[in-house]
Parts: sequence; structure tokens; C-alpha cells
Amino acid sequence: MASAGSGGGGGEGGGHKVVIAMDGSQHSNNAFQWYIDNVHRSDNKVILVHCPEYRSLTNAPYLTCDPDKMSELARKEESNIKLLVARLREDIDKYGINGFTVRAAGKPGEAIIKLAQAENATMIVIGSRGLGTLRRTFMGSVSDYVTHHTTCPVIIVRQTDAVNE
Amino acid sequence: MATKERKVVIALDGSHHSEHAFEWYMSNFRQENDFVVIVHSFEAKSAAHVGVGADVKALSLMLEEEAKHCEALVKSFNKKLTENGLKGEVKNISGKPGEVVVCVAHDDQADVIICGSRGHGTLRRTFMGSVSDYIVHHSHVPVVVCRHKQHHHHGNAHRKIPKQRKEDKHTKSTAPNGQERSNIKDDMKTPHVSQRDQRTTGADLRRSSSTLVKEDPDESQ
Repeated sequence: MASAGSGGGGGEGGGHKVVIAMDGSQHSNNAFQWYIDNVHRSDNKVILVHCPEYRSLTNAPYLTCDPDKMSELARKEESNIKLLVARLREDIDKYGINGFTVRAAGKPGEAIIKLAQAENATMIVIGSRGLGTLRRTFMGSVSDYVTHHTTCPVIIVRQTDAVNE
Repeated sequence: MATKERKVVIALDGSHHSEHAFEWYMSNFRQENDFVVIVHSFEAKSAAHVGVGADVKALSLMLEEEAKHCEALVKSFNKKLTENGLKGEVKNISGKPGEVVVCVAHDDQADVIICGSRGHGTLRRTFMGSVSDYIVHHSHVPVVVCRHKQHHHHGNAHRKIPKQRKEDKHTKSTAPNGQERSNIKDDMKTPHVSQRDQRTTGADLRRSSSTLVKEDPDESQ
């Protein structure tokens, strides 16, 4: 079981509710791992939130044509999402942390903020980028939104490696 | 198991927002072998206000005052380190605060940067101060932006959350934003979420996502 809790200062700072945004990208996996290695304490409650964006549906070039194709795409997306959520649950069990997964709907940034407010989260952890392909900005749109609209401390996990540059 | 030494850069400017950042570090992030680098940066503002034909004496007085103020701050930061038994150092560097912090973190190979969401800046129309904004966008390492709600309730974490009532959805969606927000805080109208298995939450959130509060920019700090 991964443990990052230290002896000093653990008492006053415990019992956090941490919302971690996961989209299946390497960035969010890194963010989760970084959280486990550096921030997690055993009395924290972790909420892994996944808000699917349905990119293959919205970005598909054949949007107006074949309904069968569309439903096939939708089915594929759905199964990918289910796989991801199942994997998130596995991660929770693997690290033995107290937490659960949430599948949110709507715009990812807004959904994460709403969830954090509804759950009275005391921390949000998010990667600096996700599945998005636009690399011209410093930060992805979702993490940008979350950083600007959060009402609790937010940790933006950016790492310098080939993935980021 | 000894933790490896982490270099933690904390950006402090003497404001109470940065105080929060320091306190957050102390109670939530600190590990035994951390090496803390407190970074304070100052822009020689008085030099920027030099008008043509300005009084040299007045200018040098202003500069002296600023230097004294910086010294006092650095002293208080050093005290912070020793009082809390932290291993670390204080850096006082001139320049644009955001750039200074990112530079120091880069040069010292920091593992994380911790900063407040605002500092001394007076412009409140933005969500986040310019320095933390800069740091978040330019840092090469994880950044913790310590924001906090205006009114922080400590007891809410363990409250049971009542199920969302159907009739409330419609009344809530027409009420003005500010009122909605405080109502949501006081009386969590979301599905009971303390269960581990969240198969139903997706649908509930989908229902509720259309009626929950829209962010009010002025209040969201």
C-alpha cells in the first residue's frame, strides 16, 4: 500500500476530501500518481471523477450520415468509458485508499467544480493537460477552467517529460 | 521509511493569501525531509514611478523604505522556517514575481511550487492574481494554488446530504445566482454520495447539472 503520510503535521491537516480529475490520459494518471506519492494521507477521502467528452462523436466527420455508424460510435464510447471507470475503481482498491468514482456529465470543467462544491472538497488535483490535442497553449482548457473557478486549493500536476513538451 | 528530500518552493509576499499557502503546506503537504525555499520577489516600484525631474532625495528615501520593508519580510520568513523547524532558505530576488518564482523553481530543481491565489494586488475582477496565473502557466513542476472559500465550514465534511427533491429543482433554477449559491452551501441538494458504488450518480449529476448554480465570477474567489 503506497503511503506518503508523514508523522509531522498529520493531525491537523487530515480528513481531506480530494477530487481528482481523471480522463484516461497519461497526464491524469501522472496526476493521480503524484497525489498518491506526495499528498495522500490515509484519512483522506478520494473522489475520482471522470467526465466524458464524447470526442469521437462530436468530432466525427460523418455526423450527418449513417445512424448505424453513429450508434456504433456511441456504443464504443460507452464501453471505453465503462472500462475507464472500472480501471479507476481498480486503482482505488490497488492503493487501498478510501474513495469512490464518479462519472459526471456536462462540460468537464464545470462538472468538476460542481462536484467539488457539492462534496465540499478541500482539494482538487488535476493534470495540466488531458486528452486534448492542442499543444499551443500552456495549459489545457479544463485545467484552466478549474484553476480559475475553484473555491478550494487546487494542485495542477505538470511534469516536464516528452508528454508535455 | 525516510522520505526523500523534496524541494518545495513557497511564494510568499507577506499578504494573508500567501500566509494561507504556507499554512496549507504545513498542515497538508509537509514531509520530514522537505527543503523549503521561500521566495519573495519585489519589483522596484518606486523606480518605475520616477518622473522626469523627480526629487532624487525623495526617490532614494522611497527605495530605502522598500529595502527596509523587504528586510523585515525576509526576517519574518526566516523566523517562520526556524519556528516551524523547517529545513530551508529564504530568497529575496528582484524582478517580476511570477518569473522569479518560476526561475527559482527551475534553477533549484524544485519538486513543487506552492502559492496563494492572490497577493497584495488590488485588482479583484479577475479570478486569480497575475502572479499565480503566471506560475500556473509557466511552471514545469506541479503547482498548488491555495484558494479558499470565503466562508469555510469545517463541519460539513461529515454531514449527510439529503436527496434532491424534484420540486426544488425548478425553484432553484429561477432564483438569482447569489441566492442559489448560499442555498446550495447550506442545504446540499445533491444525491447522497457517501456510498462507494456510484453507478447511479452519473444520472443524478446529469439531472442536477442543468440546475446547479452557474459560476458567479465576482464571488468565485
